[in-house]
Amino acid sequence: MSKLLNYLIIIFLFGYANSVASLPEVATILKVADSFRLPTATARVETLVELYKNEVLEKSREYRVYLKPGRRSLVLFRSPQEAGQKVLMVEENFWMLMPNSRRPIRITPIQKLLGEAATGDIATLTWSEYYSGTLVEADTDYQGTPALSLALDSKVKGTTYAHIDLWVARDDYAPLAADLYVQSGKLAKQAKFITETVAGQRRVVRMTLLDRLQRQRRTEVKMLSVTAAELPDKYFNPMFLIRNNLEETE
Amino acid sequence: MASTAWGDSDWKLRLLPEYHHFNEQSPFYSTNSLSRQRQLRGELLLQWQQAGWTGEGALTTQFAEAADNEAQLKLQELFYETSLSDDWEISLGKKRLGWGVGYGFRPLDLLQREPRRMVQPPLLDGIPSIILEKFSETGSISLIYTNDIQWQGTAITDTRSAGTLRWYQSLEEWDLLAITSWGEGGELAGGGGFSRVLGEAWKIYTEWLYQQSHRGAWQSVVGLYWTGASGLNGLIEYGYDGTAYRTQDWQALFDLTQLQRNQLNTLPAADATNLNANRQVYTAPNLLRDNLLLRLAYDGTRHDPAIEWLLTPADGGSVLTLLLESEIGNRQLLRLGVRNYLGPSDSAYGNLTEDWVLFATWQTAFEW
Repeated sequence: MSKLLNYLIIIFLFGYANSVASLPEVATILKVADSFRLPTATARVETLVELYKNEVLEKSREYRVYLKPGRRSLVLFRSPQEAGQKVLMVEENFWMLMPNSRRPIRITPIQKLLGEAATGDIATLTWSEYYSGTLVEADTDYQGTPALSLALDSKVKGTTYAHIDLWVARDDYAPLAADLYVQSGKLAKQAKFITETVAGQRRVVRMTLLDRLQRQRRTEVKMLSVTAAELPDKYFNPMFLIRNNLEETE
Repeated sequence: MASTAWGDSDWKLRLLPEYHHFNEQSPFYSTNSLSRQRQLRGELLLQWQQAGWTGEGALTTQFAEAADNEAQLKLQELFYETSLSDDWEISLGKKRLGWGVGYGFRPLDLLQREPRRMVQPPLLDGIPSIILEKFSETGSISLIYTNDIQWQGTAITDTRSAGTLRWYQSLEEWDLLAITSWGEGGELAGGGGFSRVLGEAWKIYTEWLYQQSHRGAWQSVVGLYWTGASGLNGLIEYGYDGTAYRTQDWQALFDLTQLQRNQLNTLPAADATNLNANRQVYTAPNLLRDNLLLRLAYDGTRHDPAIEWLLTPADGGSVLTLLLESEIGNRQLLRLGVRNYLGPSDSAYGNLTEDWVLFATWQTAFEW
């Protein structure tokens, strides 16, 4: 149903794409841009994160992320060194469970910025739920691709980035690139989105993050698979993190 | 975790060398301590999950110069978890149980506590338990029956059963917790706590517990935690332990121990036993009633250094620990540390049998 809705939105928007003056609301553009990263509202995403320092691969990490509307994400750490670690995000509240522990720990919003890849980078795959935006330029280009330039500001507490400058393709609103700013106003990272056709749909399959605070660092976030999967609400209860029977529901 | 037909498994091999330097001025010092100056522990750990079952086992070998070396195979956890309905869950088996929100001291870990004196404590053994839980989207109520069994070889030396009721509720920035427990002797314990995030970078937490079994003793902790965007983070935690010794209790113990040492030549066997018994006081969770913990750490991409300073203001004693944890590639971890026990000669930590300890952990994760 959500796929059909996305197609309808895109078809509807194409009718107006030739005319800059008749661009849809930015919120609508963001929803379309979101559909390239997350084609279903509830999903299980398998992610591989590769961390490079001075262009040398330092380490790679695997994550399984469950996403649900209402700004809910559950991140399961799958790499051997971190197996058993979990991070839960519910709106602007965050918890972590360490391996071998039976106590979920509440963490601060800044803590989710830290680590291999900011957990927020892999667990937050939509902009429309978290940001309100304005159109900055309707007729620009990003590395030769005709693009729209948008300025997004966080409309809820606890977002990983307070402000985002986002470029989307002018023809279908596929995300192209983003400058990501933290609360202090510093440019923290620059993201570039790589799209490919998967199962007949154009999707973001890779995100390159250039660290602008530690300039020698680059992170590749590869979305290995995105499948429709819905966990019951109780799985987003922090105390449920200590239970291991997650696979029963799949 | 590696997935096979037998389920998901995760193997780890750990080597934990330690070097202990002893305080010969301590009244608790004995030349027998020297047999444990250099130690090496090896651990092969397996975690396994399959269809609601979770298991964890460890093969541990311990080497210490001139001491009895030993190897142990332990099943640390084995439990089954399943849903009874949309809201109700059950868990049966041997499982670790800990609910405190503190960093260094957690009064609400009333059924099971991590040893605090050891620089590299082994993973805790689970407690046989039946846990019935009702979950909502933001809260839970748990009814827990435990039967803690103490073994010596294949013989049971002691059993302690308890019934515990735990309530948890998350309310926006707040996590609220309340626990009450009844032991088989009728003794009651009850407590509560909360943690709350303040803005982007701060967290405050507190917990407290009343225990009837310690002649009505209170234990409590309050802490403030800060995280910086750079990865730097700091913690200040005050803990009160009404079950711990006061300075006058320590002074009486020092005097008694010194007296027993002086008699070692005349009554060696009896007084050596007494000395050993006196040393057991150091296994308490807190050596004194008032404890202050300061921690400064850096959460780096590859290297995580930390400094911890535990102070007992009443007698001027303290424990200073420096740590460095580094990741090597995708599967290996190296942890180096040094712990120094400080304080005047009439302080609990100043009289510990150890001056300082060097320790390390090398860990590699692998698939079988």
